[in-house]
Amino acid sequence: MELAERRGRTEIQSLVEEGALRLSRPVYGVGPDPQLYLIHVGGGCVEGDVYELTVVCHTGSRAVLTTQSATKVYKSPVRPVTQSLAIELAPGGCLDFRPDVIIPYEDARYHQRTHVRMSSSARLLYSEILTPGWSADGQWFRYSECRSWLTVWVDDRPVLYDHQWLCPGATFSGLGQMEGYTHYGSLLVMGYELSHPTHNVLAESVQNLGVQGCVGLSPLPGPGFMVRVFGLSTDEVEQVFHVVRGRIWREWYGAMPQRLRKY
Amino acid sequence: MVDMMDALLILLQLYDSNFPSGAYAHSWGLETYIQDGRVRDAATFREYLEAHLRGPLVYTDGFAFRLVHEAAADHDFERVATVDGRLYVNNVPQETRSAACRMGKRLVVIARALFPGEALLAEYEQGVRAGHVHGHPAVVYGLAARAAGVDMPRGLAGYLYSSLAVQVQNGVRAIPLGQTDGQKLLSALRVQIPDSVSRVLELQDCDFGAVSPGLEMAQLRHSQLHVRIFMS
Repeated sequence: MELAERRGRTEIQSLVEEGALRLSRPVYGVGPDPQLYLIHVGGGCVEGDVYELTVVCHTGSRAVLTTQSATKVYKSPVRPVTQSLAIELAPGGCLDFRPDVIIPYEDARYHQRTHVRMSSSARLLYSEILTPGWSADGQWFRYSECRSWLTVWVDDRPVLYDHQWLCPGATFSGLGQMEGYTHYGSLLVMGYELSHPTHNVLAESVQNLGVQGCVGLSPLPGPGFMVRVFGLSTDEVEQVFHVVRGRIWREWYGAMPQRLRKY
Repeated sequence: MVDMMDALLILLQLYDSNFPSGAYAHSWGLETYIQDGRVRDAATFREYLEAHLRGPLVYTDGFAFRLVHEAAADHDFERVATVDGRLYVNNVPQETRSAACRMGKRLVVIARALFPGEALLAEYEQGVRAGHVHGHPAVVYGLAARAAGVDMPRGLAGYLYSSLAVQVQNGVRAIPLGQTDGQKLLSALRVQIPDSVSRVLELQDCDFGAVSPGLEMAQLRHSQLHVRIFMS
């Protein structure tokens, strides 16, 4: 998918779809940028499925990209479900990527590789939320493994290599791992220099939400910053992301990010 | 005989918990757990140490040590620099990222003094000074172990042991615990080191730097604690 700016409006310049992944027509008028929905025409991801997605934002183009529903990963004991996402952001390109949660079912194996190449004048918001999954007997964390590799290059310089490897097992809920929480979210903001005062303001406003979870923030080289959230529900994690995204949107666009209506 | 004894003594020197690495100033998240009341006695401290030994000490520090030791055997500085770069961009919490750089910069100067003829250590020190590489203890220890003629699994075991020993000392001071409790913990951890070494030996490139979510959360939250005796 290639996005380009034309007369102040971001349009889809080219689109190639194949297999189970489709893109909705862009939705205009609900915010400053078009909203794009990724649609999975099957019901979910089954063993050995391979998904590839490339998003190119040409100079000055801006979009909100999301999914139509959660990424359900079914039983995949031998071959994992893999998803590769390549994001390229030209100077002035802005992408707000907020996919729905990942729901790994019993015995699911999910591998996700995300590679971002961006200009130092581009902007990126990127989030992911991993739920404890689903199993027939209602127990959590019955999946085999969920792995996510996220690399970010800014002006041809590597600035982030984040590798999450969650394998539920004996010590998985204990100290150092999930620590009793069920939901785990990451929000990456690139193209934003997190000052010390803003860091404190964000940490405080997130605390004031009164969520039961845990929130950690850190500036990254690039510049950018990472927000990690431990929670007990998807909603809690999203509340935290909404506060952070709101702050960034106000500074970048002078607007509040729209909540996405689905379902 | 003399050579073997010398290698043993060099190991003891490098991995002495009094070796001036600056590690005593960093808690790597422990201080957050102590303030939360999550680590409060020998049993809970052991959970913390075991999480470290199974997590970052294997996937990040231990794996990096192995890769550097292997690159040094091939006299390949490019590969050493690649590991250094990956360690830097893999470290999300700013405090631990700069802690690792600070310790690496300090250690490479000492290692250079101990092994003045070592080309890779010289190149790494120059690189750190010029800003081409960032500096990380695992890189320096990997290069130093190789320079000392210590084989990789043994050098790695020593590196993991010394990392734990410093953390035990930090815990003894900060929780606080008795010195005997500290030594008992270290013994209990020591017997788990061979497992961690075997695990490092079987890792593949794509396994590098797997995050332990809870430990990282504690490291991220450390900068927001009101009272801090450690720098990370």
